[in-house]
Amino acid sequence: MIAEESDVIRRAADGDARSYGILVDRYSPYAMTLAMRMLKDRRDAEEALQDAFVRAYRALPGFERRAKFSTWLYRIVYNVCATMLSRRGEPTDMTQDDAHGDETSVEIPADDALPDEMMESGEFDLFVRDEIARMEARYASILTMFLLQEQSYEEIMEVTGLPIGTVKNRLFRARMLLRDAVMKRFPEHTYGMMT
Amino acid sequence: MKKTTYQELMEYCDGRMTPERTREMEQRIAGSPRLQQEVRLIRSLERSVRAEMSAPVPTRLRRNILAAILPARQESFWFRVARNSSGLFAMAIVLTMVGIVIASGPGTGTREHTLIPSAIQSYRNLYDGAVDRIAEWSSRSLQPVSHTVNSPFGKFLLVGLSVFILFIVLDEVVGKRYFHGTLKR
Repeated sequence: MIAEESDVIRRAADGDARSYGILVDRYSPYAMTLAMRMLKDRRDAEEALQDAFVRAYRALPGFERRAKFSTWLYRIVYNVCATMLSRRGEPTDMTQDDAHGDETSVEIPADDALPDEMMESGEFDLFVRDEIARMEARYASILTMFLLQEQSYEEIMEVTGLPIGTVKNRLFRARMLLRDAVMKRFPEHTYGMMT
Repeated sequence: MKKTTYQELMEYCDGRMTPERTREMEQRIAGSPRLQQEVRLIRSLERSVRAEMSAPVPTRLRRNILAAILPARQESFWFRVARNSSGLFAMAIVLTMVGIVIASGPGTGTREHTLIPSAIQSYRNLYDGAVDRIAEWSSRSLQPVSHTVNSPFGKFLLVGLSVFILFIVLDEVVGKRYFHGTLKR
């Protein structure tokens, strides 16, 4: 029988490690993906995840039930990863507004597109995976939260502490980075397809 | 005709448009193979991103997380005692072995054993042989074991051993049952 999440959270907050183990099992795959996409290194991601889950456990008695547990947990994971990035000395502006005007109103050009068979290929998937792995943490993290974890703009705002305009801009930029990379990678398919 | 932007297409793909705007966008897309292909590209990229979940979280990470949280709020009295007395446990094991050797030695030969007689006899032969060998090496005669066991030191040793064994049994039965009961799924 699957226990109600609120019951599991309540028992974990009361100190029941078994219940917390259920939460770890449930959320660690997504949290791991977020950490990997931000830190780009498996060992660092595991370290961040362990740190985040321990912090979350200690803070659990103060967790306000009106928020979603996943949002609350991902915020901790996000902050731990951001701290690790700055500790590494990598240039990071995870919490800074990077909006340079309205970048989201780019019109669709008429001269490039990919054929359907290319989009369905394994090579396409592999390429997208590599591009996400290369993508800057500030874009990759938001793309992951939005598409993989299916979080709303508001939830992403809560996790990252960014204003909604920045969230939207970064998400748009992340998608455009992916799209442009795909178009550049498969140039033989991108010209003369459409008129 | 109004030009379509990527942002509009993404909003359409995300289902964030009002019903009216959705209908309008559907009409535009239906009339443009170019837009149809862009929509397919957006959806293909999303599918790829969703499919690209990181490798499973290793079990050792889960174990580490649970091990790390336990000292914070969950450690039982018995676990704390056991953790801090691992040296004593090791000593208890050594002393127990010594005690067994002393207690089951030949002694005065007046005690009745309930174990298998042939095994006892074999052990006695081995023990006597070892004693003879040591005595030969040291050129000194050894005292019967019963002297040691019956001395105040020997009694103290046996009582100490009993307490250690009792402690270990209690920790195994009471402490670990409680501790693991709250840890394992």
